[in-house]
Amino acid sequence: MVFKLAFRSILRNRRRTAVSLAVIGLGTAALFLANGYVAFTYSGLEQMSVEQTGHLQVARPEVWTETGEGERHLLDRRQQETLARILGELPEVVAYGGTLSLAGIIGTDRQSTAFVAEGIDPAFAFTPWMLEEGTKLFPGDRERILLGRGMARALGAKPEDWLSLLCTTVEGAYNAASVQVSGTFSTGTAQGDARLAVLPLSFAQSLLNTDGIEKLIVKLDRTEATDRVAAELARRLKAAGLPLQVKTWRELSVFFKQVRTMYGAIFGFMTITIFGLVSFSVLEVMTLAFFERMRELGTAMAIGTSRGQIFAQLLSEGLLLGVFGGLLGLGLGWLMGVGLNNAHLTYTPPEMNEPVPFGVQLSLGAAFFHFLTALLSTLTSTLYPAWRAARISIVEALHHV
Amino acid sequence: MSAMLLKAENLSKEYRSGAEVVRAVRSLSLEVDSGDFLIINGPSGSGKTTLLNLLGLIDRPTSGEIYLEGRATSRLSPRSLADLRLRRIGLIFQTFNLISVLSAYENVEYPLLLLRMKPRERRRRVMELLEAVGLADLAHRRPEQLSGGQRQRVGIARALAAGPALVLADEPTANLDSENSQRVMDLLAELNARLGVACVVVTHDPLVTKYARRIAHLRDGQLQEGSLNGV
Repeated sequence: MVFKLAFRSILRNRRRTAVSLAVIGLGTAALFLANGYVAFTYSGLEQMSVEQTGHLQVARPEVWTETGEGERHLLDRRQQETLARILGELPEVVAYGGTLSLAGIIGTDRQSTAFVAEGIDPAFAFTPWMLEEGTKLFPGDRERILLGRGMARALGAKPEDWLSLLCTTVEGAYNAASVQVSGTFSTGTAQGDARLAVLPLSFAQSLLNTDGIEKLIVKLDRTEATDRVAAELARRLKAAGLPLQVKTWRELSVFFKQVRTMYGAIFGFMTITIFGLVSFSVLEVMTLAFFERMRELGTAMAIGTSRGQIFAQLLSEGLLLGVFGGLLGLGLGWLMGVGLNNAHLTYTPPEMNEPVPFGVQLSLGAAFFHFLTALLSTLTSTLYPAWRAARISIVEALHHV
Repeated sequence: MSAMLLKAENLSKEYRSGAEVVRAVRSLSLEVDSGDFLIINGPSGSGKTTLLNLLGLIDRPTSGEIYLEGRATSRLSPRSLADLRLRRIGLIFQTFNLISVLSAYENVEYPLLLLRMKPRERRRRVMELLEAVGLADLAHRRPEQLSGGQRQRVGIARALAAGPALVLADEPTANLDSENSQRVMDLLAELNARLGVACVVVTHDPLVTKYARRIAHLRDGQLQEGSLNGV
């Protein structure tokens, strides 16, 4: 009876109920779509971050806390072998490979530029950046290099061109070599494209005159296992007496963290604004409904309806508005999301060179969350009118015109 | 011998109207027995409706006590009062006060739902009452689809739904033409006689007084001397 009465009551003033449902529905749809967009962006950034850093990195703690290069930051042969044995025992580990960074000057006989390069193991399917021209590095490659496309353009270098490279060894001596351009890549940012290069680990080691590596990059079979494997790996490293630190891609990707913080703030603000908008709309509707029906509520109380039952009655009207508005919003949001995803839109974010896809991640979990949000906002805003209605003086309510 | 159903003792009700204190009911005492049919009349502003609100336990007296079936009511909680109104008192209003979104059937059913009566018994009870007031054929009409007289008959059926010991009617014929007024009062008198439900009717309609077993005249919130005699 409570719901029957509530349902019929919200249909009394159909135009007002329609406006309320539209506000709740549009608010829910907007939140659902915004959340879907944020989730889609997080997912893309997560994938990009994992591609750039691997799921885990293992290194001496100083690598992340001190600047400059030196032998003391590197993992020696024995440490690399112990680490390889431990990683081999973890079933989630798909691949791993060492890296060694170096900086120097690279150029042709006409011009040169400073660079920062990452030495990687070509056998390890770790491709941090998107190849644009030429070919990637292959196992067995030696004096070959992949250049950021900005750097290649500045040097006028194309695949198969030879360049000269100058750097300092770990002992501080100068070292120089010729290197052939294998290809060019894009980091997605102009700054990265102008400075970064990738070369085979063995070549980087010979340039720095070491057999050590700076970091070991680990790929897992699935991203969700990251934290668990990181903890297990740290435990085993400690047990093996290796003074190494394990970092996850989340800790390493500053950009991911910044974007997540920014979107979190924007989305939080948006949620509060829409929550407020929906709440005030429902508050107004329920307050009007209360005043319009004061005489009827007085009659109901006069014939024996308790205060609690009046409160429950009005609360269930808010609940119904929330349920219908929430479902309407989710239906609308889901349809718009499917439409946006099928439109295959792209956009270029600030500081990026490449367009990225624009999409909305549609999930039942998010739908349920936003349905609950709609329900909570309508219930919250019904509390006060329902409380007031339950406490009216019956005599005054019966005389209300 | 009829048992005493309701007793009002030294009942007073004051309320503020701006800076003025209005004494709507003044030290009034009254008794209503089971099966009684009491008409309370008096001019406008004499305190009839205030008295009825007090007797119906929807308003609290400033002083005095009301005993319903021997039980003092002034210290009862709002919840207990609501329960007493639901089970022991039926209210009939001048403006019918039906719930507009419910049909005639559902309006009569409403108190039975509050009583949590079983569906089959509830259905039987509602139809029995609608037949008694001659509206079984119009059971599924909404109040706006009924005439004034029909609405008041639904109101009577609703007042009787929970099987009260006492029915209080506030100007039940004020919004009806003379034909419908007579029909409504005939119905109340018949139900009073047949079911033994005590009726207290507040009115200033002289045609209604012929149904009374006792008549009380109210003036300035007080019963007129010797007015509670039987007819």
